[in-house]
Order: sequence, then C-alpha cells, then structure tokens
Amino acid sequence: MSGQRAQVALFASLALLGGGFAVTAPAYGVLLEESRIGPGFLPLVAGLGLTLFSVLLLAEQLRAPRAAPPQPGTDDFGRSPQQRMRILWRVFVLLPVAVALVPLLGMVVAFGLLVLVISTWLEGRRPLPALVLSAGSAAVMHGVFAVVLQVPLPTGVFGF
Amino acid sequence: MFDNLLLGASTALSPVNLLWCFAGVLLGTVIGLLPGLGSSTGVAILIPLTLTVEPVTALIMLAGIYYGSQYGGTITSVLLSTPGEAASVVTTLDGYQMARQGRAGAALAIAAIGSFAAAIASLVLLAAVAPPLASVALNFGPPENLAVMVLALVTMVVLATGSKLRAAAMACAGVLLACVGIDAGTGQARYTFGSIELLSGIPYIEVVIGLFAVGEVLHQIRVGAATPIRARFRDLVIRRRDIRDSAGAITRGTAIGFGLGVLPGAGSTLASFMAYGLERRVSANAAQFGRGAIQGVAAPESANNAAANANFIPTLTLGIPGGATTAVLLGALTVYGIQPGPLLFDEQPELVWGLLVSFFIGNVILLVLNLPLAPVFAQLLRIPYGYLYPLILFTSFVGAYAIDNNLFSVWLVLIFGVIGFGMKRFELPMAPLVVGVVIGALFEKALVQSSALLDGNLWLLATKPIAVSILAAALMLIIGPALARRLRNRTTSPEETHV
Repeated sequence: MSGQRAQVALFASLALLGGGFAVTAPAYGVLLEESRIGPGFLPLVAGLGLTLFSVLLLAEQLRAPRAAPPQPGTDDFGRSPQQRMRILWRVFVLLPVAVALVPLLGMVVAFGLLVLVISTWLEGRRPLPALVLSAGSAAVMHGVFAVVLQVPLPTGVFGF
Repeated sequence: MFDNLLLGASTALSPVNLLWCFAGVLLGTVIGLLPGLGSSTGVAILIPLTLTVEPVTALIMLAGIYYGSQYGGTITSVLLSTPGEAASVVTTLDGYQMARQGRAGAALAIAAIGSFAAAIASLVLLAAVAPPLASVALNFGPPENLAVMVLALVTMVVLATGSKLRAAAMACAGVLLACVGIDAGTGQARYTFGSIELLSGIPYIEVVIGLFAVGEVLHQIRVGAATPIRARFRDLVIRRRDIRDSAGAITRGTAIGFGLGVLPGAGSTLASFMAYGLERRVSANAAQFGRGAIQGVAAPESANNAAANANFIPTLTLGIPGGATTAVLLGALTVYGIQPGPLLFDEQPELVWGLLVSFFIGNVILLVLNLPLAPVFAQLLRIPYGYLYPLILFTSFVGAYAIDNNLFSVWLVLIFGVIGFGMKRFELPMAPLVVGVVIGALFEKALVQSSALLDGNLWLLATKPIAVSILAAALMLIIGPALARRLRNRTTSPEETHV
C-alpha cells in the first residue's frame, strides 16, 4: 500500500474507532441522576475527540498529501529495504508463535528458542555463538526472574 | 528543608541505596545506548527487577535509569546520528557533525558537563519549589485536580513537537484506552467484551513495554542498523575555549528546560528543541549551527536534563506525569502501593527526600562514569543488532509477565508492540498516548467527583478561583500562540510588510 493510501486508511480506521466508542458510550449511561457524570461520559467525549481529530487529519491528508516518511535505503550491512521487510514479516509471525508455545514449552525455553531462531535463521549468525547466546540468555532470565525474584514463570514439558 | 535534606541524605546514602543508584545509572546508560531502548522502555522493562526491594530503593534505581539513559541516548546521537531518545534528536545535528570532524569526545564531554550542571541547578530548584507546591496542592479538591489534568492534556498536545492534530488524536486514544475496564464510579464493566482480564483495565506498564520496546525493535528492523563513528580516549580532551563558549548555552538551556519541565504533560523533547532554537538565534556564529557548533550540543543536552528533573515536580506534587517516562514511574509507584500526589511529601518524606537526594548522587556518579568512560560505553554500539534485538524482545516479554504473573500481559505487549510499530511507521507520537492512558483514569475520577460535588453542574467550576486560573492557563496555551501572531502582525507597519 502506498504511503498516501496507508495514511488515509489509518486515519479512517482511527475515526471509525473513535466513532465506535462514541456510539456505544450512551449504553453505559452518559449522565446519571441529577446530571452527574456517568460511565459513558468520558468514552463519549474522548471518542468524539478521536473521531474529530482523525477526520481533520484525513481531510488534511486528502487535501495536501503529506510527504511520505523517508523510505530507508540499504543499511550499513548491505541489506536492502526488501530484505529487512522480509525479516520483519518473519518476526511478526515468530512472536505470536513463541507466545503460543509458552504453555507447552515454558516461557524461558520458548523465548530462548525464539532468540536462537532469530539469530541463526533471520540474522544469519553462526550457529555456535547464537546457541551460546540463546542458552545464556535463557539461563540468565531463569536465574533472575524464577530464582532470584521468585516469579512463577510458566513451565512446560521440560519442567522449567 | 534542611531537616528534610538530612533525612533524604540518610536514606540515599545507605549502602544498599547507593548500590542500586549506581546500578540504575549504569544500566540506564547502557539502555540509552542500545538502539530500540529509551528511558521509558528501560524503566518499564526493569520495574519487575525492583519488586522485591523497598519502594524508595526501587524508585532510586528507576530514576537512575531515567537520567542514565538520557546520557546513553546522547552517545548514540553523537556517534550514530541515531537518537536514543526523542529528547536527543536535536543533539544529532551538531553532535554528529562534531564526531565526523574528530571531536566526538568533546561533544560527549560537553554533553556530560552540561547535563550535570543542568541537573544540579534544576535539582536545587526542584527541592525548593516542590514542597511549597505540594502544600498548595494539599488544598486542591476534585475541581482543581480536574483543571490540572485538563492543563496536562492540553500542554501535552499544544507543546508536542510535530503535528498537534496527531498529538491530540493520540491523547484521545490514550484516554479511550483508560476507559476499558470497570468504571470506578458505578462498578460497571466497559468495553471488556466479556474478558475477565480486561475487567481491571489495560495495564499501562504493558502498554509502555509494547509501544516503546517491542514497537521500537520492530521499527529498527525495518530501518536497518548503522555503524557508529569510533570515539577515542584522546578525543575526550575538551578545550577551555569549548567550556567558555558553552557556558551561556548551558545556562539558557537549563532555564528553558526547567521552565517547560515544570508544566504537567510537557516532556523534555520540546525543551531541547526550544533551547537549540534560542541558541541559534542568540549565537554570534549562527552559521556554524548544524555544522558542528558545540553550543548546539550543550544547549539541548542541558535543557533536556533540566526538564527531566523538573518533570518530577508535577509527578510528585500533583500525581500528574510530566512526560512519558514519569508516566511510567507513576505507574511504578502504584505497583508499589504508593499514591502519588501532594500527600506524598507529608506521608512519605523519607521516600520523597531520599529520591531527591539520590538525584544529586546519581548525577555525580553519571559524570564520574561518563567523562572518562564514554568511549568504553561507545563500544557497546558495536554489538551486532542481530544479536541484540532478540534479547530485548526476550527481556520485554518476560518482564511483562513478571509484573502480573499473567500470560495475558505478554499478549498485550505483543499487540501494543505492533501498534507501536505502526505509530512509528506513520509518525504518530507515543507520549500523548501514554500520558492519556495514565491520566485517563485520574481524569475520570476527578470528573465524577467534581460533578458530584457541584451537583451535576460543571459550570460551577467557574466559582472555583484556582480551577478557573488553571483552566485559563490551559486556554491561553491553546489560543496564546495565535493571539501573539495576530498582535505581531498588527504591530508590523504596512511599509515594513511591503519592503
């Protein structure tokens, strides 16, 4: 999606979001007895505010398209924007997968694996240093949070 | 006040607190250095580490992270032209140019010296101003609190750098997020969609971790990494002329920073921009700005440090955050079961004064650490980001879990991470959203109480002189600039206009 179209979609969505809050707010009661403020008052006002400002931004965008933010070029490691976007999309997929695996593998193992997968598969780091890094970080997290701070981190099939 | 300072010193100088202060400053500097982490993120993701210590110790450490990361952010501004913090953006203009001319050390040194001078001056002012303001605020009722919160929201929007409309939209979005959960007045559940987890609202520490840490990491993956300029020990030598040239800039920067930082809702970013703008205007060598002028580093660095300290005035005395980081610190206070506000000075003098005195100690540690060790810290910038960002993600998710021992928090962090990435991508400011989330609940409470107190007629706010004065100040902030422009245009004669 082009920068202009994406911005238009963004502000339209924000306007809809604000409108959604504003429309549903009266169901909670905007004003109570003796004109006192009810639970729907603030969502109504803030929702209308979000709608108003988003519509103004939308109009601004349609009237005089704001220059799209500068697109990043090739970075110092020679990666093109397309290559970086590919990594980013994979991170987007990997993150919810890691969180979903927490009940099964345990938090430390699931995120330790995430570090390993990102370092080796996405970032092309050598396997041994990446393995040391992920195992080390998992051990540190376990030590700090589970042992020292006594946080009951979710454990999985491996027992930690 | 002397007794209070003694009490604070006895707290802050205890070996445990000194150690945590040192740890905070050191961690803060490292956090500020790392791409994708700033003071808000640093404070948010490290809150879980402080859950087992005394609140005052925890706050001393978190405050250390706050000002430590500001200096860390300066190092990346100078060596990478990549600001670690929004408040360091303007430092890149001249700092990076100085680094390219082989004067990275001088830029870092003047930033450290300027920040230290600003911190000490603003702390003296903070210690002098905060207690009387807290005494005044003790007389505040719901209408006055409501007015202060309106002022905070208006300030946050009007003084935002960049588009005011975007800031206003994000402030509204933040307030809307705060509406999710059980309404404090009636006990009615709102916008929870049947979720038990959402009954207690959207916790803002998770929001902050998601927006600032995960969102920033995703953004960094998109924009790509840069290689830093090497800073050497011998470059650290700062000439006497540099200090002489920067003295005025440091003084003016401190004054601007403190003045803006006191306003509830005004962050340090604007202070740094204004200090830079003023310096360029008053400087005899304005043409040098943007090409490596040392004043262009000294002024914004002094301003953002002074503002950071002054931000604690509304935070501690009114319970209203001065900016995004103090909003997170406010969240930390509530995690420790402490109610911020004017009563804090009376009820917890050890905590307040211990914290204030720890600022002095922390800034001394920061200067001692940073003047000789800046090139050592700079080496951290050479760690490949491909190793770094998975670790930041790991820490963020585990930290978020540790706050509530709840996997729901981890999902929230993920969702707000994606939102944060989108906000970065489309240049939507994050600070108004975070402050909106923090203020939202307090704002509603003050609104409901005021309406009950005034028998449902909010127009009766006009009978409350303090509330009216504060609301008038908010109104002036909105219409003041346009009014001043119009007056300026009117005083300009037609001849002048047509020349």
